Amino acid sequence: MNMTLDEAIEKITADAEELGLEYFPVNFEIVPIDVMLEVMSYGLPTRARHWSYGKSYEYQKISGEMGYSKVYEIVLNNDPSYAFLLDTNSLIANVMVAAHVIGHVHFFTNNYLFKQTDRKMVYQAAARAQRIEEYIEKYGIEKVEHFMNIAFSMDKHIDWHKGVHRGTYSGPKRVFKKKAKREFDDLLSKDKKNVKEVIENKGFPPHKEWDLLWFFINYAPLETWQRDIFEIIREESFYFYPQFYTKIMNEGFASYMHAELMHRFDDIAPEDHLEFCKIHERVVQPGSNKLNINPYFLGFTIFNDIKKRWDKMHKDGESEITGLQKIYEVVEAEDDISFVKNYLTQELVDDLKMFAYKRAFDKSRNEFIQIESMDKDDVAEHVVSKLYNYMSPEVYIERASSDGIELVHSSQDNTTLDEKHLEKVMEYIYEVWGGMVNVSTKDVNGEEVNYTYDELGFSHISDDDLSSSLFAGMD
Amino acid sequence: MPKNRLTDNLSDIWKLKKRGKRDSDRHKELVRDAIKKQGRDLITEYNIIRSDGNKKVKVPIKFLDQYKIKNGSSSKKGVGQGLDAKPGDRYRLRKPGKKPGKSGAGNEEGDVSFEAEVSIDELVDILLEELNLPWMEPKDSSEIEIENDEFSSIEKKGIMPNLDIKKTLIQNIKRNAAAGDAKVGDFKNEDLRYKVWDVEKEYQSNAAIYMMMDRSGSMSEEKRYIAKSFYFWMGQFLKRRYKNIKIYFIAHDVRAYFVNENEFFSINSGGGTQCSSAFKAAYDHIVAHHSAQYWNNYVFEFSDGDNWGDDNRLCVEYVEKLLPLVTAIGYGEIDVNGGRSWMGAENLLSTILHNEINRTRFVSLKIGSKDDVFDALRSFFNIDRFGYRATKK
Repeated sequence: MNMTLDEAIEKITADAEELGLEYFPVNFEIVPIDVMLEVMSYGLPTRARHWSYGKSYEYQKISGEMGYSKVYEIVLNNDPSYAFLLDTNSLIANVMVAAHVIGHVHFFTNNYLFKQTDRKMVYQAAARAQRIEEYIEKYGIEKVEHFMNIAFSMDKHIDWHKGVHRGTYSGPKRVFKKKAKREFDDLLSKDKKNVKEVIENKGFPPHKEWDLLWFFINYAPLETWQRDIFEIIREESFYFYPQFYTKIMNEGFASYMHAELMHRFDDIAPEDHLEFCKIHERVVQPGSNKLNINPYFLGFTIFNDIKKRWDKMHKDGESEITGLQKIYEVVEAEDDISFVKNYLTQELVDDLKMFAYKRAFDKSRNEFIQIESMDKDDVAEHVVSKLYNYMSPEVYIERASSDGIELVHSSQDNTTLDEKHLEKVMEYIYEVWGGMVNVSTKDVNGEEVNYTYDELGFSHISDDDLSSSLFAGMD
Repeated sequence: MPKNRLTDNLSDIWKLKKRGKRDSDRHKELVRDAIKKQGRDLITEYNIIRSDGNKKVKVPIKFLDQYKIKNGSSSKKGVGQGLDAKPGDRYRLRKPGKKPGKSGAGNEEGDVSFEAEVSIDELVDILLEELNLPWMEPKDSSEIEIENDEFSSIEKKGIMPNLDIKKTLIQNIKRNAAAGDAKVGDFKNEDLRYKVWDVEKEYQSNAAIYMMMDRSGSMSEEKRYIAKSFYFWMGQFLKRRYKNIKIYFIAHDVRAYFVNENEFFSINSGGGTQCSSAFKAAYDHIVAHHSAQYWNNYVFEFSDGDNWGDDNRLCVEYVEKLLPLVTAIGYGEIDVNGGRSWMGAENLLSTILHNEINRTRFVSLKIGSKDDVFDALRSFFNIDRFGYRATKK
């Protein structure tokens, strides 16, 4: 290429404007692989330290060294945006990646989900990380880490529609005290406050509460620094939510755009062009595993199809807008669930030979897959089935009082909860709430199961005997 | 037009380059703690036992779990592409994990595992800590401080079992004589003289380990594996403590044979069992070559308890003869089937030894499965500790 990366970015910027892209300015930085993996592990490079990012970093390193994954770029949703390119990439590769990044930033800037995120998150995260450093200084790494572990154990359980900033329930502000932990303390205490409170708090929370961290931030007997940690991690969860819900679209659009922008380089040497094609192919290939579909490929294919269909309709006078305009509209208004359901056509499903399947085991415990359908609605449903509820079980708080807290898992398709993890999370909640924790769910056969965590530890009742359920018999 | 630009200072401003390392160090530290908690499992890890010396071993280590409320099983639904398929078609799947290397590519949390290189030495560190055997840690100097539990001074204060009767009698007579009536009797507290465990420091770094095992037909591969796990760690731990170690392998049926390590763990015979033959062989060898004055002798015997009835007395006899010559001696009875109906528990060698030999340097253990090896090691090396504890004033 007879231009520098600087010049190439300048050209891409001009071409992007011509194409009608509107986006936050981007700061590009070329970094070595270690920094790249670090930024990737953190998601937000400025956020507070936690061992889980170290774990992810190690994992990325190992899989990179083994050749399982190759990372080209990382881009942050922020105004201005920040993007990281790899120093070992060839110039042509980084030019293409820069074009791809601009696609992402347009997506961040315009998509309806992203519009609800904090655009100064990179700086917010840095300030919060500073506060957490102070907590570490004051309370020690173990305590702070422990509270972060607790917050991360529930961070996917937010209520997007109620939003990141929401007021407390109407009515008088309730405060819950920690219940005495020793067995006979309630007998020894002079007033029978605890007993009364259970009855008083019959209707609390006033409705199913899905935002677990929010609930504990507002109603659990936490110390200020603990509450702050919960708030920080909850807000980060809201920040990352749109990325999770737009993976197919976001990658598809960025890939569509890098192809579009790269076509406008007319003086690319043949060997550079060949390399560009190779990388592009690698990014948007269907995937060698036939039981999977590469989201880059799926998104890219659907956007190309939208372009083609709307250009034709526009030409035939059936649509006022062109294919590209339609693409911008889709980018603004959809998320992966609606995108796949609305724009995956039967023709595409047939062309790509897509199929919906289920996994099962035969009598001799060998796993097999069974093809269920090639109908586009079924295929679309299967594609998005993993996205619902932030990829987490649906769990809400049913009731809470000073005595304890009851959560319900509304199980879909007989999905169960991972018991080992549940036990630990219930232990966390027990600590946070300061009273007995109850979780009701169903087992694989659809039978009711009740888990309890109290001063005696973890136990479960799966029989008809639910009498020890915290609130049994109260209704 | 947006101003896109190249920058070159973010890494510094955001202190990148340090975070990944710092947090992965922290993760490794937590993983190490987790290994410690898994000490029991590692004790019988096949790959470790198989290796010899201080070689590095591969230990499968899971990344630390980050606990979440999550589904009990992964989604059974999927979408594929590029297959000419029709509804109802079935495809068999290769069992996951059969393709080495590929399994690491999974990205589901908790699903990820990799093998970490850990040296035997590091593992011994971890296990000693987990077994709570700090006195097994190597001392600074190459010479090792050995505390001999000789009764070498006589004092007035003490506990009854250590009463030195002879000295007390003399004291009693002396006192009565001074009062004009040289007789024995009318004991007063001031007459009492006690033996005191005195600590004699010696610099001695020799240990002889006698690893003994029943090789009768009933000692299945599983039982031999249990013995091997135990002996592997016993050797590793003692290496920490002594500079010069000699290990002897004694296999026996009704007779005992000195064999090499390979033979020891592989040979089976169809013969009967007389455990006393091994204890006798160890006794004879110690007397001839490893006097307790210069050697720390460790003797251990594994059997499945099928000992000939009249041999049990002989075992007791030899263990008693060995006691003054050893630092620690033990007997492990491996019973993987959980109790035998045809032989009363009271007739088992482990029971007899346990009842007859009531000494701090001896332990008789029952091992039901390889999970018990951890506890067996702890018990065996604890007699070591209690032996020394008794020497403290």
